[in-house]
Amino acid sequence: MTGTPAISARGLSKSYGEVRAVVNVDLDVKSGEIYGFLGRNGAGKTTTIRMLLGLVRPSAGEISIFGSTLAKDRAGVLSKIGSFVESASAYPNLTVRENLDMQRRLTGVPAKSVDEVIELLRLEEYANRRAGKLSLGNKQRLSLARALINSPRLLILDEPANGLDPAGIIEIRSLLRRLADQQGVTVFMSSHLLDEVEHLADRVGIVHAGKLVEEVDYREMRAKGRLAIEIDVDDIARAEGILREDLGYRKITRSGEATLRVADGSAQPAAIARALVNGGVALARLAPMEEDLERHFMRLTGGES
Amino acid sequence: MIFPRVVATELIKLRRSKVTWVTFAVYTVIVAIAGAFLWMVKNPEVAKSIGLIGQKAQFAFGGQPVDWSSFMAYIAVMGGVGGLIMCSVIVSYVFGREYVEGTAKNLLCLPTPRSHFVFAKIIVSALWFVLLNLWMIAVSYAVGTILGLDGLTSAVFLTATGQLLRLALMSLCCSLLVAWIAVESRGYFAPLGFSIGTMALASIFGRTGWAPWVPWSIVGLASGVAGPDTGLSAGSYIVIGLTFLLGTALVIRHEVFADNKQ
Repeated sequence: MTGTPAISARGLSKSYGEVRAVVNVDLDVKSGEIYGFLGRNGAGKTTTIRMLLGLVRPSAGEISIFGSTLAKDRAGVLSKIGSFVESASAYPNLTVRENLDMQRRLTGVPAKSVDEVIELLRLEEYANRRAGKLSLGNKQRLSLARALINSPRLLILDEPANGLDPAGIIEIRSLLRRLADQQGVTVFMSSHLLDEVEHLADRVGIVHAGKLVEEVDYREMRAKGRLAIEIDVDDIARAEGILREDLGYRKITRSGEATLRVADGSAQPAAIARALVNGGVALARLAPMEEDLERHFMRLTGGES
Repeated sequence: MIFPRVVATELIKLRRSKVTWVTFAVYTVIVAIAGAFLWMVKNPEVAKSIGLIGQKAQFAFGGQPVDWSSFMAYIAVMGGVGGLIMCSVIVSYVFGREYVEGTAKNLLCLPTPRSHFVFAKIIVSALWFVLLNLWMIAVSYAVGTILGLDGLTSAVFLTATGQLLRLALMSLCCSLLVAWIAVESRGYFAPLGFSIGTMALASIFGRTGWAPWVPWSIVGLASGVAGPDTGLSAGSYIVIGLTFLLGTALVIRHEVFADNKQ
């Protein structure tokens, strides 16, 4: 996961009249990682994806894909990407095979690619069925097959688990993991399904009201088994000052009248206890919190009661 | 070369489409109705016995001799005026379906130049419409033969074919504005509504003396619906050409530059 970032965006914004759909988003997606773009409905996920694919022009900001831009080299950039946006779509009067054959012709890949993706997505049984007669889950598989047909280096997928049954979700999750681990394919996937992102993503960007509110290294989170340390103290202002100035922590929030939450990855419970006691703060409780993504997401997006 | 591949994919999309075959069926029925009218004119006692339809049949052929020449002239008028509507249906479908079926976003983020899709769709629409007109000629031949019409010459057929293809080209030029409405509105209803509106405009301008300068009226005049003296000049053909350029430019502007919010 080194070298040129797969996606680099700076100050990305999109407004539709008075509506600010995406606000000043910075993104860095490393090559070979799975990046989950998590947000509620209407948070700005799909608009961001549309901007990455050149379907929508940013109101401000710049996007670079593998070091190049759509303005400089549209064909070169898009030929490295496989994607689908929002709902699964295909020509309903054409069969699965014909739909994929069209994509093959337009991306200039050999005819055998059609059979390969049909096998990869387990669509053999439906290969000669018209797309209009497919279930939602199989339409989603067809969309994934279409995205994969040109062996892309970057997959940009908008809600890839939509319409899939639980077995299908696990199967697609395993496929994406395999593509990332074995072939170095970068996956940028949006989702509003916490479980899906939690199980698959290496890093998670949480977007809310058009803004990227936090990026979490989920591998790190999983490795540590916790996200935050909660502290109950008698003097919250003094305690916060010590943590910021003496220990240099930055991700500190007040989660109650006497409770601080420290989310810095480098925070150590023993060091916190020592510093607070030495600083004359009475420590009532110090607890590493095993916060899962769901709680974290709800807290960040204002959903926690 | 990617462009021939884009054209090939557009043809594949049409091959399996019911709409393609429905348009051929509609043209077959139109010619069959013309043939039925002609049969009534040839058999006035039957026409009289069925009342209104018989009178309309008499009116349609305006007392002309019933032969290949009058039949093919009638077909050319029907192909010209009806062709404007049919051509609008074709381009509305070819351009609008990508938005109705949700596939425009898939096409627009391919490495293929977006203008390729626009030109491929124009070519495929033209091909479809030309084949439809040739089919109309073929069906007319079959119907005329069944009716036992007199005066069959190759000149009659060549004139009618040339006239229908000329009208088809003019209709296609006018219909690019319909294609633009289809991609802007992302569907079929607005372009077809626009098309019906242009028919009304053509009819209104046809009575005001402005007809040779209004694209849709020009096609009507060229079809001979107002008589053999069309009153068309080079200026009328320039208007048709400008309409084509404007429609093409608007479709390309939308497909290349507009945000896709499908």
